[in-house]
Amino acid sequence: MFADMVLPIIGVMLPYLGVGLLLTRSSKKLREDGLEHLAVAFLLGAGVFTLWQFLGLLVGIPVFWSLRLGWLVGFIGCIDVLRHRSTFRIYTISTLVILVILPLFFIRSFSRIMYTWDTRAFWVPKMFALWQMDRLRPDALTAFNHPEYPLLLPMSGANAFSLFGFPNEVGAKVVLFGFTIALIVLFSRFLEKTVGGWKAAFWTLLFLSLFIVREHLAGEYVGTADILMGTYLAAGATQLLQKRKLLALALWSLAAWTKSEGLVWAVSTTGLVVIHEVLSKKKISISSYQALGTSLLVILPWFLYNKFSKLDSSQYFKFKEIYARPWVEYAIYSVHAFREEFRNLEKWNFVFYLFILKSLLSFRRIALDERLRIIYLALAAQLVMYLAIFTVTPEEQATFIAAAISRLTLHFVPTVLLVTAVLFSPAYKQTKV
Amino acid sequence: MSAKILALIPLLGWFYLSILGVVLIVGALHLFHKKNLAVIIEKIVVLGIACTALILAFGNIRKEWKETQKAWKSFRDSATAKINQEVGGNYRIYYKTLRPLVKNVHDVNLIGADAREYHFARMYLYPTLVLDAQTVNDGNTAYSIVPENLAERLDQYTEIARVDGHVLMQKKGADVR
Repeated sequence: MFADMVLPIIGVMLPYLGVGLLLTRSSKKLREDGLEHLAVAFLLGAGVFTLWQFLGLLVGIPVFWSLRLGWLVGFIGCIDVLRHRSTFRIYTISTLVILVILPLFFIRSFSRIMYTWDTRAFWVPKMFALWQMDRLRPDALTAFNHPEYPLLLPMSGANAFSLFGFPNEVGAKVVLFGFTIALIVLFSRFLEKTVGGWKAAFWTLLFLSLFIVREHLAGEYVGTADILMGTYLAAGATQLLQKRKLLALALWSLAAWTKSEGLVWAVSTTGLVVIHEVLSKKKISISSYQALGTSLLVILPWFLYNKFSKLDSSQYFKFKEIYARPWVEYAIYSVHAFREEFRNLEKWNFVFYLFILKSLLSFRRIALDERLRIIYLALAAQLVMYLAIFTVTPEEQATFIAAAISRLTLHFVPTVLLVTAVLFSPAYKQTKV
Repeated sequence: MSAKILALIPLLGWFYLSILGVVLIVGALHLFHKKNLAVIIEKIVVLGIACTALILAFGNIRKEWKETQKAWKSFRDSATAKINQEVGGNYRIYYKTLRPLVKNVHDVNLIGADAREYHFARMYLYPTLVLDAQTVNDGNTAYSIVPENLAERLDQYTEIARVDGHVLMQKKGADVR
């Protein structure tokens, strides 16, 4: 049991962290808070490293070798960070909340391997396939459901399998738990700085106690990518709210490498940031090109692979079907589905109550603040996209909504909570991006 | 039109109606320059909701604690034990036994398996393509994994391996390279 836990930390999580530390080494502001730096570096490193492994597989570098090469890069990154001292503020009230709750999640998560339909039908099989293959050919993943889903999660699992030499799903879960730790640390550290100790503890406790969040971090849905998408959305939001635009866009773009729905978020946030830049500076500046370049570098590889491999990414976008059905009624039904979902206290406690109330009361503040405006518009675009998916789904609408709505809502819940907390904070100052 | 809008009100329930109520009251107070009163009302509402949310949150953490107590029993088991617990015999049948035997086979029929077993077979035998077949003649393959009772009746097939009620069969005289 001990090896199942320690090996993935050293063999997979450290390379992720090392790559992220190298990528963020020039960000002095980020270095000011050691814990936040580690969390951002892990998320960024995991995304970039697995994306690089995917490119490696395309040209015939198996996961086994790309992971070993990652050890070298990771080692350099970790050594580099030791040379620069960061401040670690760990004696905080929200750290206490985390230290009480995360072990509970850890024990529940590791008591069994992944077991939902989605994990057995394609997430874990993709881990297995990536671990086994020498080269990623266009039809390599078509044997499994949803071949068009991106590979951040499967590649992470494949790394763990490669480390053990057999499909050790417990090892894969250790790597996925790294994302959980990064999310919670980033969430609480940002709130500690923005709203203060006790309030940060309240929001952290509220977040970790949510039924759907617990099921995705520790229970039934561990091994599906929805919480990972929520993680990257929230991580990007924390960086934008701290005026680190490029870092925010990099993390947001990685949402497209996590789940297909993340593509909408990546494109909309990139567009919104660039449009805001152009409108405020009255010209296309270098930072606009940087923003565009960062997003395209992350989004394009998988997007192009999907297109050239003709993978079935149009499953939910059969627009022709709109004309053949009473689409207004379908759309109204979709709206009602979210109306019901948001007020489900069993699942979401009072998260959406506080969010909707404070958003309506702070309408002017949101409209005047560029950073909040970008996040709200992106949230709106994402919600509209989900409404459209529910409306045009080829499956029976009610069944599809019942199966998917909680997972889709989870995508933006961490971000919604962060924004709500910020709106309640008088200390947060509105500024331009 | 107004009747349609009125019909929507019951759908909003206390959840959305109370939000609207608070927003209208606070907005009206701002309009009449009673800013302090508006702030007090908002604070009372938010504090009330936050306290209720906190009570619900502690209840949820208690539930998590109970789940953890159940999970603790298998927490210290080895990875293989946990895999066997969840995957059942499929790990032994497909990964340990049949996988080395079909290593160079392009595709294989799987007969008589449910969806769950099919998913495991499809994964553990990768890159061999597993076809969810009704008969041994489906697809264009010389190999089939069939239940024991069916294997006895397949005269034109040779048995390659037998494990836990599953038999890997190869068509006699097939040109297999």
